[in-house]
Formats: sequence, structure tokens, C-alpha cells
Amino acid sequence: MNEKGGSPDHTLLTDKFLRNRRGVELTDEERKLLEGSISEVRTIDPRTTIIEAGTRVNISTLLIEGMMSRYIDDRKGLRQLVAVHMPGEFVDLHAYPMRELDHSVSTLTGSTVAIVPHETLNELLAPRPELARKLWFSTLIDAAMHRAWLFRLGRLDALGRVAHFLSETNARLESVGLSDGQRFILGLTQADLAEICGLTQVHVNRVMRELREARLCIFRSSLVEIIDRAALERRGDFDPQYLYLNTPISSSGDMQ
Amino acid sequence: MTRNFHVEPFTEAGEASAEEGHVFLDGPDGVAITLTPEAARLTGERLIAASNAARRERPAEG
Repeated sequence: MNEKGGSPDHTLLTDKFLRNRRGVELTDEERKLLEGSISEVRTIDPRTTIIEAGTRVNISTLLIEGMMSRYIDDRKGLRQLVAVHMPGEFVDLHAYPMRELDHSVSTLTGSTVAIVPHETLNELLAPRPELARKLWFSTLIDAAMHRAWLFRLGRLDALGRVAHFLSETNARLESVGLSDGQRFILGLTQADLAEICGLTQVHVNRVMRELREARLCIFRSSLVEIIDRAALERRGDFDPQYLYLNTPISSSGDMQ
Repeated sequence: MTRNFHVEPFTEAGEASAEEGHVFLDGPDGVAITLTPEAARLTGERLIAASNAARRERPAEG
């Protein structure tokens, strides 16, 4: 893990946080206050565990760039990803009230994160219940996604699970300007998709071919191209309501 | 209250297929597993044996 020296440049670090979410919007002042609560910015190598399950934590981590996961390993060490985080999301804001995590947190790709000490959050939120409610809202979106992930694993077949995940990822990245609704960069491997969808790697490989042959979506060289968004979402039984996104998405960010 | 058929035993069989030296079992419902040919054969034999045992446990119809 590398720490950037000197005073961090906080410009727009929180720009993507809670962007395009229905029913909650940070005021300019709140966003500025949140920016000011960032103590440092770190770049982290891919596949690095930054928090082990059960560890006490006194900071929360806002993902600025890259992709991160929450995961639980079974007794044999086999991994199940229980959440994937994208830029603009706190990966562990729930650690603020909970003080320790029941799962581990890791980078998937190389990532840049902003660190927010819990002590600073205390000072920030105590006199500002409305801002506290907005941060609470962001953890409730996490909870809504967990419910959708349970649905995915419990109810959907292999093709449906991958279609659901790709549809969700597209919608989340679109909300922060990192997908144009049809194409986005996804720095995950088929092994990652397998751990997300509860499938074997060879099953994922077959599903990706089926998605391609059905002209729904192509995933090649870290680029996902959705050919028929409506059909992909239908096949994955995906309804974006649980993401609480504005419709239509306002395009305040450029696709990168 | 609508009956939840998903907690009842499935009446549809899963789809088994082979590809690149692996056996895929898709369905019924959310079942999605990959097996080696050996594990698939053994699973199949156990399923048939369990199916026969379950049939014997059912009361005679008619």
C-alpha cells in the first residue's frame, strides 16, 4: 500500500459519492465538509486485503478509482465475494457504527482510496443529523444490494446470475459516469465473476460465450459491451429499483 | 396467501451437458454446478439409487 506524501489534493474526491441517487443529494456545503474529513489518499495494489474480518477499525474508506470487494472465505479458504464496490462508494462505512467488520475487504484492481477517520466523522456528524442520514442512506443502498445478491444466488441460473451482475454493474457505473449505458471497463477476471456468482470458472466461461452468441453482451479484454441492454436485464431478472438511481441519469461525468 | 412452489420438490429435471471435459448441470431453478466426468457419473448413479429408494417409500397408487 502506498501513501501519498504531503497534503492530499481533495479536489472532487467525493464527487461521485451518492451521485444520481433518488431521494438523497449532498449539498455543496456537505460535500465540502466530507472532502475536509479526508485525512489521506492512498493507492493500493490489485488483490490486496486492506481489512481482515474481525479486525477493529477506526477509519472508513471511500473508493475513488478502481474496484474493491468484500469477501468471506470458507473453512477451506474458498472465497465468496459478497459485495463489489465501484468508484464513489464507501467500502466500509458500516464499520463506523459497528467498529469491526464481519468480512474482509480487498482491492480487485489497482485502487485509489480516500481515508476518513471515524473520529472526524464523529465531529462532523454530531451537529448534522441530516448529513448523518445521508451517510446512513448510502449504507442502506449497500443493504439493498445485498438483498439483490441473495436473490441472484438463490433464484437465478448460471446465465441469469452473470446477466444480473453485469446489468447491475452497468447501472452503477452509469450513475457515476463510468458507463455510457452500453460499454464499460471491467477489470475483473472470469475467476472473479465465478466468486461473485457462485459458479465455477469454466461455467462462467461458458456463460460468457452464451451471452455473446445470444447477442446480449460481449466481455473481452476488460471491456464489457452490452448489445441488447433490455434483453440482458430481462434475462438476469434485473430491476434497478433497489439501486435508488435517478431516472434519467444526469450526465455530470464523462465516461473514462 | 400464494403457495410458494419454490419450497416444494421440483418436478422438472435439470439439464446436463458436456463441454471441454466438464459436465454442467443447469437447473432446475437456480442449480448451476460444474462437475468432473467422474464426479458427474457418481452423482448420477447416486441420484438413480436415491430415486429408486424414494419410489419404494411412496404408498402404492390406486
